[in-house]
Amino acid sequence: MVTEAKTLRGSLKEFGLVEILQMMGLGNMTGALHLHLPDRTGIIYFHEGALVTCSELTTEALTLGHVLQQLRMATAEQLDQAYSLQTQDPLGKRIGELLVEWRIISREQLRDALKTQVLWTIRELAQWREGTYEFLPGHHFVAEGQPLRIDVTRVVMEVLRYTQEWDELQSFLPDGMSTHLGMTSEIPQGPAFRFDQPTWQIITQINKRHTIRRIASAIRRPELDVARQAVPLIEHGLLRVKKSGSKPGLPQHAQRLSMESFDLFSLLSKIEQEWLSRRTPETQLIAFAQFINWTMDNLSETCEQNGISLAPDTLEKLLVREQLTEIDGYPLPLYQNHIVMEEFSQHCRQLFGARHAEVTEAVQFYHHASDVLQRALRAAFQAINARIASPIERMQNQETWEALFMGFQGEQPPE
Amino acid sequence: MGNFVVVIDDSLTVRKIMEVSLRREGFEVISFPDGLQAIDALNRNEITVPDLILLDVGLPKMDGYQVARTLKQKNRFGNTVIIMLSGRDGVFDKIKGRLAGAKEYITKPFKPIEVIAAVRANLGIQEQAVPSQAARGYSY
Repeated sequence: MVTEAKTLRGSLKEFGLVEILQMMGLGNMTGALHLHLPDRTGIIYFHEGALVTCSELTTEALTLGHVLQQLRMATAEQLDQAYSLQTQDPLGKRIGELLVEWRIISREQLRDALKTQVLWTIRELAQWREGTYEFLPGHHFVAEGQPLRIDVTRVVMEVLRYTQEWDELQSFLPDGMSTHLGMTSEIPQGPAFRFDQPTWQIITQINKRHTIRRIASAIRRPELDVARQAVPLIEHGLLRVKKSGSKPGLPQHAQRLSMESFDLFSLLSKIEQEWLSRRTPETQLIAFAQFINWTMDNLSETCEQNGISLAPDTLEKLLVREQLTEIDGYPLPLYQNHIVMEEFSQHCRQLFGARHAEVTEAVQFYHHASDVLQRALRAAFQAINARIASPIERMQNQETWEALFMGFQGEQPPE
Repeated sequence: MGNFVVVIDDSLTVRKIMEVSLRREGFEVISFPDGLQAIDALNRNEITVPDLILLDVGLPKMDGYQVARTLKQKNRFGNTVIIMLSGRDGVFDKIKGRLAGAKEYITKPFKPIEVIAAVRANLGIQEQAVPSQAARGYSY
């Protein structure tokens, strides 16, 4: 184990995840723990010794959708409906929030499902007997809404219980819940086999779903139960293990909504350069509106690259949600994800070209408009950033656009 | 250890953009808001001699051309590549940059990917494949 002022790293062979978890808890540590295998990465976030979130990057990783189906909180159809809405409105609510809004699950159920997702993911990560770990102190998880807080002792208990059970299943399911299964083509030898209803349910899904995780989600049962029942089928030669179908990457739905290719930094550089050329209050306000339009244009391009088209009312929905649709009673003119520049510019020109008696009104409008437009721009950045897969990149992005906003504040507003 | 790059720019946004972008590509980066602070840190050996400096032209106290000339007068910075960043793209500005010792002149606004390509080209580093998502520690 190597410790430096900033990082803690070593081999998982020498120091297992359970020991690391205990150390994080006892030390009240805050930061990100990265686990690496040659083709797999896991990341666990801690805040003051408690676990905040955890995920693994593979195309077959456990998603909230899997958990909701396996715990019978939502059906595949309901999830498809939520995914479909999300692809039309990439800046809108996330799957769990949509299901709460539709009253399919309660807010408490959503938190329980998210906690389950974390616990089930971490118990699988704890089975890595090789690979390396690296702890980056101070790296915070940027959460939307109230972050989770799971006691490390509870996590350790779950991991130990699972490890004990998994030891017996491991040799049959080498890739854990992502193990790819198929029916054998030859008639199995040995004694006759009688199937009960749950086992038969598994068999009916094998050729369609292939992995334990997908089968469990389809038949709406916890994946560990399905794994237990699949093992005798492998033992009897009815099922065979195939090469893993899991690849590094994001699950399909997450991939389509991902904003990895959104070139935020080029946009920020462009915005800053334009801002520096705007000297008057009128042109500065018009610039803010332009920045929002540029952001929406970039978002639209990114969505196209992901194979989805941006709904024409995405900006409007965002502004409604953030209560930013008007400035002192003046409704922002919107059309197809843009602020209508001609109309907005004309309004600004009228106000700032007004006679001396109306200067106070113009100054007030400047302050309010500047506030509304900057909040709208920030909300758009935040919504886009929430679709960046890496929490570290999310944090770096936010720090960078905060620097830009500080630059906006540095410019003197009109007196 | 990766190549060492110093970024000198009075814009916090530009410094952040380049720090993050370069670090994501494996470079070691330190940034300064003006040339005097950078020269001071280099003269006091607080930082090692950089392989490359990304230098803004419009700096306070001492402009980028002066900073480049000051550094290039010293033998120890003979191998340090200087790339100018500027909001002005006139031919005269570019010539001034070249005369001050800069190898390249990039106009703002810039795309970080293009700046990184210029940094790599000037340091003779081959284009890297985009780091895999797994290597970047993604979660969702």
